[in-house]
Amino acid sequence: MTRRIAVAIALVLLAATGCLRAQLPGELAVPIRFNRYHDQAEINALLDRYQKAFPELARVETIGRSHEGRPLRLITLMNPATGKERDKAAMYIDANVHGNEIQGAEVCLYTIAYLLENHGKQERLTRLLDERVFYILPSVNPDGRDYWISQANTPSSSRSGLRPIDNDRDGLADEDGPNDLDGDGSITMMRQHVGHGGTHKIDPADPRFLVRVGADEDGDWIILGSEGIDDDDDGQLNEDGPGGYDLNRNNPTDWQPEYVQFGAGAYPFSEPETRAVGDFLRAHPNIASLQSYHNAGGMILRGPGAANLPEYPRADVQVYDELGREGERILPFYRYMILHKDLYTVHGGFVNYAAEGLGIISFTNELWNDSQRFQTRETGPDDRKDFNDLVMMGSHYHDWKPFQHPRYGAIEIGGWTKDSGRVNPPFLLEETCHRNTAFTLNQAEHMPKLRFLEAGLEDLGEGLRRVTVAIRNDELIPTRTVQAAANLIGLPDFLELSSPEPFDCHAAAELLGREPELRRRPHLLDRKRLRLEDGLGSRQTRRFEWLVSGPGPFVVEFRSEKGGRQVIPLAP
Amino acid sequence: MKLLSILAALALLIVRGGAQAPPDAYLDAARLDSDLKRLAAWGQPSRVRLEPVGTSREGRPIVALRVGDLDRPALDGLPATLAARGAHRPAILLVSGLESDILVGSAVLMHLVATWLDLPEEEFARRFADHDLLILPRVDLDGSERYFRKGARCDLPGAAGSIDQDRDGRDADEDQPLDLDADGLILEMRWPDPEGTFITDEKDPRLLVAADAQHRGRYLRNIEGRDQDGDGEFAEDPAVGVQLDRNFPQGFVEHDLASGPHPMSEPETRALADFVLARPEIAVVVVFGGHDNLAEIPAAESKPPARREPRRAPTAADRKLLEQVAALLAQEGKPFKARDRAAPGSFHDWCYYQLGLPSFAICLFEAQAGESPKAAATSQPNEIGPVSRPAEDALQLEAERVHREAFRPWTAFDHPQLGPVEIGGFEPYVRRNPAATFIAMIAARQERFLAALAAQLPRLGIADLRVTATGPGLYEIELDVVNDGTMPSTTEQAETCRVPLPLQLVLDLPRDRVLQGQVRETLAALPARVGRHAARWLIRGRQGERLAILLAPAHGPLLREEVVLP
Repeated sequence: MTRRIAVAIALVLLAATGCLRAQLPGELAVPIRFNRYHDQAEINALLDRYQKAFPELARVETIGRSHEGRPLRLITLMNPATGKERDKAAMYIDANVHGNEIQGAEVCLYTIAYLLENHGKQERLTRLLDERVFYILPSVNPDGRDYWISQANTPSSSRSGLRPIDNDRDGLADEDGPNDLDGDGSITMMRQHVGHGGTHKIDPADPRFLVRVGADEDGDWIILGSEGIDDDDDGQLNEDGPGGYDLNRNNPTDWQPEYVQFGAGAYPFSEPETRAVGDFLRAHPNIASLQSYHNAGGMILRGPGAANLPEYPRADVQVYDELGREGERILPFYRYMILHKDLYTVHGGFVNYAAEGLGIISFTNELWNDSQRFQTRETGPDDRKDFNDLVMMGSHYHDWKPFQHPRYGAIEIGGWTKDSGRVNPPFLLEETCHRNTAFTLNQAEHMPKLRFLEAGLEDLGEGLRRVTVAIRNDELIPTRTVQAAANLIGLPDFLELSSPEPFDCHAAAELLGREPELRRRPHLLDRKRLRLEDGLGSRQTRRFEWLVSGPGPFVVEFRSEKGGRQVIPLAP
Repeated sequence: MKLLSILAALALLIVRGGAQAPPDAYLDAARLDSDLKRLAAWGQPSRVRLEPVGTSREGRPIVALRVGDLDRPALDGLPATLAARGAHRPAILLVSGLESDILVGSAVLMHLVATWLDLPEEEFARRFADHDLLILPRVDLDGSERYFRKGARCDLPGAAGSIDQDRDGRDADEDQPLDLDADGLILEMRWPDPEGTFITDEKDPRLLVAADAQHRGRYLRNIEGRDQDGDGEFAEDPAVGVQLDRNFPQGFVEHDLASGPHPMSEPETRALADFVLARPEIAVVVVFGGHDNLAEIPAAESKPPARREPRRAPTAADRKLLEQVAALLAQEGKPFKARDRAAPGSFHDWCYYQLGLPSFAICLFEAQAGESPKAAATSQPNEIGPVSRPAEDALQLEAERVHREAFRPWTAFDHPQLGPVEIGGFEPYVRRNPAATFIAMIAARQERFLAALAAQLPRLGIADLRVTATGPGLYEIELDVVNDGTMPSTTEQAETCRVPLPLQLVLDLPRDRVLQGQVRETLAALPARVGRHAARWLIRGRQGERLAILLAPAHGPLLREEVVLP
């Protein structure tokens, strides 16, 4: 009894100190579980419930429609009481551009829940939502998501959207997809016992599996491929399934046609989903940071996507490196990597467009990796099998069962289920949700944060006055990446001196030091307004002065698409 | 109301009665639209049909016409894979008006449409015996409206749409060009400056050329205007949008405001792309505009692109096709070279490099310095027949005349901000748009060129069809697929980009009755004239049974040969 009371007291104390809020608070305004997956209708309903439960902080909108007409529902999280949306740096987060890579949507839901449910309760999270804007689109490809969840698939199928494509160029589209012959909800494999002359034999170590025979051996099995019946009777199996393109190759930066990049689509943004997202990003130049969730492999990926593109400028790489290294700490078993060097070449990828086309610091996280199965870096070839047998109690592998195939006759069907390899087992989902949310929220904290360090008004005699200001970005992410400045992406930052009274501005300079020779003529727009193409870099302070005649009072305003707006008055 | 209907009926009678004179004028968007509809209504439904393309940024309907033998029945009873291809007949797509400042193409196409629809029955049937035409007279409807604007004009290229050209974060279009000297034209300003980067051209002192290492720059130049937004730049934020013929994905220049935020960002370019992609019958593309690839044929690639690299120059075989078609065009007079050789993001390059279509860009008119300065100063559109002596080509003479006479001499002007400057330069639009009196002549030449081009289309056929009984219920079928046309069945680039459907040979039989040979065979492209592919099947059948063999070229028409088993 005493022990029970002690435990109860300890729990109350923990709750009072907020320790329980390390993740989600116990009492949720919108109940949700993170040990299950949601279909698109459930996701949309949850977004609506968040909007209803947090009307002052959440706004849901439809930014476009998928090929099959599903709405692309995006939620904006921000606190309008603390400033205008466009005056705040924003982070954009999306997921599930590949239909089968579903767990990112749950990470998005977790991020939404985490920020909203903790607002006013947890200091850092409250500050984040007060100071930043979050645009979150849990599923870029709702058609592919629902198709993967509701229909028979493999772990890797339903990657595409669902616009019919004539993949085998025979004049018909989507006429020969796989068939769930045994009706088990997954597309598994077909094998046939041929007696001799086969390519495979039963694995002596585990009779559930086949192994390829050596050159001097006679196999008694052949593998026919994944479940299918050659619907179009062309002698090829499953060669023209649903869709057959890649939304993550359909973005305009370094887009290459289909003959160079498989899945590219007819032209950049030819698909309604990618176009809607692209239009949204361009309409929200305050987005300074971006995350797109995929699976699998445990990677924190940045561009460039192809070897023909130059490495990012050094200062930009320093920002990525710092965030990437931080990510590796937050996300055990994840590695920070460069797409084309460490994974594969991607032309027309989304984060490449965001980074190189729009000047946004952008990452793709590949969720779930093999090390998570047994929580160790040391992985082995039997891990998948052992995990199925020891942890998933056999649910990831369907044993071979006989089947009478219309073309091949007596065959067997069996193998790995669709949820066995790329998505988190539901019981391991919540940790992935939290750690990836933490990665993005740390990144959101690193978005530019500006303040005036100093501001002075000095009388130089004969009616001449010197206005000086120093403005600083306290954070890691610059207001303008070097790529953005070099390619004139978006608008430069502007620093403007104004006064309600008429005044003359005789000169303006950037102060690189205290001496006159260290005064640099900035790029002027009508002298009172300076154009800062390269913005404010990582934790950088820049100082400026104007020589003016006029009574004042003066106001200096710094305006940056990604850094927001700061104003400082200079009274005489 | 009744009176109105009678009037309408009378109007229709008059129109149908042949009062359809070719317009021969530069038409604004409203007139172009009504003329297109009028032509479509006037022509016989079996000859002409309106096909909507899309809507411009400012809401104008972009419309194409299909002209040809439109009553031709589609083949029926086809296998599912060929059902969609049964109605196809090869089409030549004619596009103009991709650039806002070039209107001659649309005038010429409207003239041609009226001419085609007015052809007598037999002549029409002959002209359109084996192909249709898809005619899209103007794509940049909005931008071209600036030509018709009252008051001072300039011919800055670009569609409608506001771009913050000077990226000052203020309202877009706040620093427009102006007619400072009130002469009704917006020309150019030049002024001497120690930091000048231009000098006068030694050959033609009216013109400015960039200074080089040997010649120190003397002048600065700018379009006529003031610094209205106080940023030290002059007329740097005019009200023009994206240049549509830079907005296609082949060679697209990223981070260039004139090219657009991304390929196919504009409603017009996307509509045109979707229009083309939805019409696999398009076999050849001809663009009348500011580019050309027939007067100056681009060099062939020296080696094929590396793996995962796009092609950027035509293959040697495809360049030969350009040469072949250039020779046809040259028969109609010396073709005009485009002002700029490079065509980044252009429609015609997209059609060739990414769709694999033979794609020809033709510049219909470009004012240029004459080869013989003493050539007749009064050129007349008096010559319609084929041209044998280019030096006396009336159109060339007109181009030289415009170059000579349409230049307003530099005239001193006291600029309110710059001080003394000179204002002068070519009158807007005239260098690329000849007087309307030349439209008929250009149209006649282009019609001869287009007819000759159509005569060169690939002509796929089945030859030497032989059926032999080789055993009980066993038959051998042999045939050759041939190309009698003067063009290859598809370009070499089509084989690379794999956008056009492949040439298919189909034996319309269940697979289990075919003992040898493929029921559906995909054939490689067949070269012009010598192209030949042998096919053979061994099948089970019975005497007197009728079988169909189908040949489906990439762009049509579908051919069906019937075989009776002996």
